[in-house]
Amino acid sequence: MFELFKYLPEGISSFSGDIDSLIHFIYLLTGIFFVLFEGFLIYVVFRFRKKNSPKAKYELGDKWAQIQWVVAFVAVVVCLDFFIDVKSTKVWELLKEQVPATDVNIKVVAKQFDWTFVYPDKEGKFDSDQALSSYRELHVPVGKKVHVILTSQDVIHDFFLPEVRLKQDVMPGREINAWFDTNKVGTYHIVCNELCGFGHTRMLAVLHVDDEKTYENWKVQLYKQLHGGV
Amino acid sequence: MSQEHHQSFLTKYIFSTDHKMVAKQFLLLALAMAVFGGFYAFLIRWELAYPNQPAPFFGVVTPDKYNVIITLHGTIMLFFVGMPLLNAFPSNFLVPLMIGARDMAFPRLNMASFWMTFVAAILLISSFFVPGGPVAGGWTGYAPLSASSEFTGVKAGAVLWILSLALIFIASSLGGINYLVTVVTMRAKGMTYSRVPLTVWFLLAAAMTFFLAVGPILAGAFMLLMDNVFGTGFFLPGKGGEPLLWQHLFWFFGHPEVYVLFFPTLGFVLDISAVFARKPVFGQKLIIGSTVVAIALSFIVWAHHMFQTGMNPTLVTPFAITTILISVPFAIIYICMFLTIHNGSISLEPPMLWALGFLATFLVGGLTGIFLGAAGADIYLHGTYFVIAHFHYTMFPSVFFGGYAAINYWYPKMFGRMLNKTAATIHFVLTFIFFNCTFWPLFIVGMGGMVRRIADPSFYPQFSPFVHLNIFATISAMCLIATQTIFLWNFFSSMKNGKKAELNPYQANTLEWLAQSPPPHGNWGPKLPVVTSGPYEYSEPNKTEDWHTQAPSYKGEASHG
Repeated sequence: MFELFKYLPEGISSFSGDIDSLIHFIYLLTGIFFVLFEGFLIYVVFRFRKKNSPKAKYELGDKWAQIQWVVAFVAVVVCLDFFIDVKSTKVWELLKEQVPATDVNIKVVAKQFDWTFVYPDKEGKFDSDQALSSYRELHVPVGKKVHVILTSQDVIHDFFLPEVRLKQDVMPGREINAWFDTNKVGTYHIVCNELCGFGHTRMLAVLHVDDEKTYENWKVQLYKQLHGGV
Repeated sequence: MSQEHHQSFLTKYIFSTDHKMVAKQFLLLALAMAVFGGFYAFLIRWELAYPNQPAPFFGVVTPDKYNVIITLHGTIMLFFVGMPLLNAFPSNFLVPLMIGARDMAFPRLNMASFWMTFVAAILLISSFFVPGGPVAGGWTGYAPLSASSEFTGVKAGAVLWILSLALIFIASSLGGINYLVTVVTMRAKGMTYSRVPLTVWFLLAAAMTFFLAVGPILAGAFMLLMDNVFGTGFFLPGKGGEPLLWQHLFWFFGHPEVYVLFFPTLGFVLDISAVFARKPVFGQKLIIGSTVVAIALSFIVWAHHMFQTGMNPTLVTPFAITTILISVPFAIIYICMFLTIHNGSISLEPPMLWALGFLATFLVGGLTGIFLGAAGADIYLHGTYFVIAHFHYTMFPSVFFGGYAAINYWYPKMFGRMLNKTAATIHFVLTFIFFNCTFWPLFIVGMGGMVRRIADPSFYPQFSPFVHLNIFATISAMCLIATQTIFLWNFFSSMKNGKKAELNPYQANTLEWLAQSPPPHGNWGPKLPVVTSGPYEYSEPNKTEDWHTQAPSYKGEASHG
């Protein structure tokens, strides 16, 4: 009941550790304040109940001597807040402000209620007939930086990879660039995290993190499926 | 007051212009709508614990119905329970009584405000009976999903939803104008602003915040209506529109709106704390100043709801900073609340229990907001059950703990009778326990990656390790809802059977306790009270009594009639 992180999925990207440690850091700080305040509240209610404290003290809190502690306390809170924000901004800049040089480019096409992942042809084009479309299955090579170009054909969807710790809305009418990487081979989840209509609950896909060889084999197989032999 | 004797049933109970009757109408409307909102909450929790099994009193919650239910749960709880319960009801009932006025400045505007709200509620509920059913795009109504029937199959329902919201926004604005003008122009002699109780201050703060926020959302609602009815495409990229525009307009309103539902409770809790700790409110001026700062800042934090939308990512840091800054005024107010009861002489009467319960639970909501305000952590937590748990830990304490505090505290003045204290205490204890048992597990579930607004968790094998937490939360939610029947019983039966209330059962200073219980039409005797002191002069040194009324010379109803 009290293990907040008991079911946190294992992170599998180079930045998942940064996000997790940020969340743990905030948990630690807010946890301290939670215990302090709830403890103080319980103490006050018991210590100053009528039978223990028959006469209240007349304090208006309008003198600097009385409120200086409030101000000092709030100053501490603000400092801690900014500390959190500095840590948070680092993660944010790394992941969201720009796309670094990437190894693989994949176009993610969302529509009610499907995911299609388009792999470019040899010239990097997504609209040629040599481009590969994979339906509800995203394969990426482990250890490589993946650039995803997110588009939607109808409403807003959201591309959420819980284990990677990536979340990005997918907007109709624009292409949103995001990136991620992975460091562990396996099968993971892709979830639509924005209400997109009655089929929203089933708008799922699978993330396969493959080693280089499996990844290339899969692409060859997919090509054969789409184009019928070579 | 001669008109009191010439009222027909229709003008006394239905088309009443008496501020107290209008207040009671709003209160009953809020309670009635809370039954709907609570039933939808039950259906949501049922589906999350027992997916695809028929829910009692309803049947199987299919995904299309689920989307309707979550949309209406949010809409009803915020706009048709929260706003009537925390804004319209207490503003109408308390503002004239607490400032020593005979009624509102514009009594007929007041009546119009209620009946517009009533029509808005009818419009919303009538959407069940139109082809396509009610709106199903989430209470935030994100376009394009909400902007065209081609995405949801809902057309008339969406139009009714928009009209209903627009109407209640206009109704609330009319009410707000009224409260504001009343306080500015109709304060009793001697009721300087520094002697106005904080409840009134915070009700005004809420009304002001609502005014400043409501314009953009009305413009947005108009555009959304045009998109739905005439296919204008303000929010449809295929027609040159911009979906993010809706989100900016919505959250520019939506974030201040949260404070509209939060400020009144701050006022109730502070006033109640002073009375039941027999102590002046600590730092009254500091609190008012902080509130002004919070209102100003509440208009420049909205984009923290939109970190993951694809808006300019370099805008995120400025909004994260304003979000941190807004914690300053609220931290000050919170500490002042703690210091108000510290060194007091506390009696744990039911209103005080709700006030203390608010302090204990809202703290969790405030602290968990820090996770989401940190953009880096929000990347993972946005849209998960962590968010659901967070905002229910803010909204539930505000709306229900605050609302129950107010009802418990002012009930004797409203109905002239006391609530049953034992039942009220049991109601508080059980609500406090079951509320925490419902929402605390959702932090863990959210951290486990469970996303909100999914109709069928059985489709997500990754959520099966914590299915027991979902079941626990659901059973707690059912107990929480069942507990509210204790309140409803107490509320209605005490009107007839409760112990007769004294004029001033809590020995409180503020003016409303000088009026009869319940106050007659016109509130006061032939002469209005004249105020000679502040609202919080409790336990003054060198006085025999630990309180004295704000208007000691008031003679009451002696010559009434």
